[in-house]
Amino acid sequence: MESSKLGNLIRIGSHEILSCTLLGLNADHDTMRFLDINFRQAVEKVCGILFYEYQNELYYPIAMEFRLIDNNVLFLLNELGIDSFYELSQLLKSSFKREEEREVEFFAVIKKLDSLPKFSQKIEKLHFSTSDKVLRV
Amino acid sequence: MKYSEVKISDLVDIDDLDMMKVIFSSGDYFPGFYRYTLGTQRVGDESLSLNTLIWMYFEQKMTGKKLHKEYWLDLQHEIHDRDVASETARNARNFPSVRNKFSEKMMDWYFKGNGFDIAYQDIFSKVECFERDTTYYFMGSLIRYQNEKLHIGFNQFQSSSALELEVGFDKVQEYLNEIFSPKQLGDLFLYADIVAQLKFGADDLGELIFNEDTLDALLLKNSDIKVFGAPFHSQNLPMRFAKCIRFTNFKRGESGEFEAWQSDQNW
Repeated sequence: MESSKLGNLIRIGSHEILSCTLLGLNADHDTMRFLDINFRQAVEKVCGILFYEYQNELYYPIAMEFRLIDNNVLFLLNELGIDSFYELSQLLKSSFKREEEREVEFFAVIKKLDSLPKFSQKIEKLHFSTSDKVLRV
Repeated sequence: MKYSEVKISDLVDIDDLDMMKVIFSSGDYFPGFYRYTLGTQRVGDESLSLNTLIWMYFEQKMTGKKLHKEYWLDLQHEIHDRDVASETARNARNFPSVRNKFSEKMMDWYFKGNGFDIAYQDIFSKVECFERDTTYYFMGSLIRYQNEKLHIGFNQFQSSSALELEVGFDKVQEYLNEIFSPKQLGDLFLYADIVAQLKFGADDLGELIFNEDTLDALLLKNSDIKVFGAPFHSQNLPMRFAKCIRFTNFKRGESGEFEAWQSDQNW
């Protein structure tokens, strides 16, 4: 099957519905690894959330808000006012435990950019603690 | 299991065409955490219908009568209590402090705002193809192709959207036909639109606002079509109707005035 440079973030030539989960980064610190599977069949134990950083402000890619159905980050951060990654991950962990009966650990990937990212929304307020798992690239 | 790799730099450089494809690729029968769809909750007579909303607007015009926020949101309070607050109390071992905080923030989110955009979602008319100048509910977002742009988080009432993508209509149709079967298209897209606003003043009385030019067409729709709200302050969210705030239904009482709908059934 044909594939796109955006992997299964863009479905191609199939009616098969697959969700995406960010599993980690390759050693090049630029390539994200995704699990692409029906959400109800997923078994992964980790789940990443990608942020962009530009001029010391965090932005969230709208593509991920739509395509990663295991978080709904913009709603939780900008609308509900969750302001720490610890709370965000606790909340998402509790959802996995309650809805899917799975223990999942969350980590953040923060990609520093030299220009304002398009198709993204600024995160109003989010702080990280030393115990949070954060990959800065 | 399938795995794929994506360079962050490619996602950063995503163009309008690929962004459209990512958004439609999110179509899924599972709505995702902290999102709700008509497929995941029962919406019955207790929930406000489009038809009743319009007649309440007519009554407001004739008599000036406005209802208090507590009446409008009584049903939402019940749902919140059942789905969030009570669940948290029952399941005390599942991160109770963070879930309590979530419960409080969620209630603040829908209750403390100064009003709602109100959209209908038509589950009675099957979508068979994606058309221009027609608004659809898709994965919590209102999406419309208009003036050679795909509008995400479209608000007909204010002619605004959270995101506009410059992509040809033929490309949109071609892609939808590529990734969705006719059944999937009908299941995942609903006819929908923002048709009214409910504004609360300092007295917390709700004023309904409609675009009168649209009323005749709205009155011809199925009288059981339900309406849902999104707080005004959420208008930058691309999926602002993922939460589907529900309004109490009303019916005319013996006095002829609208009263909150009552039922012995649980919802």
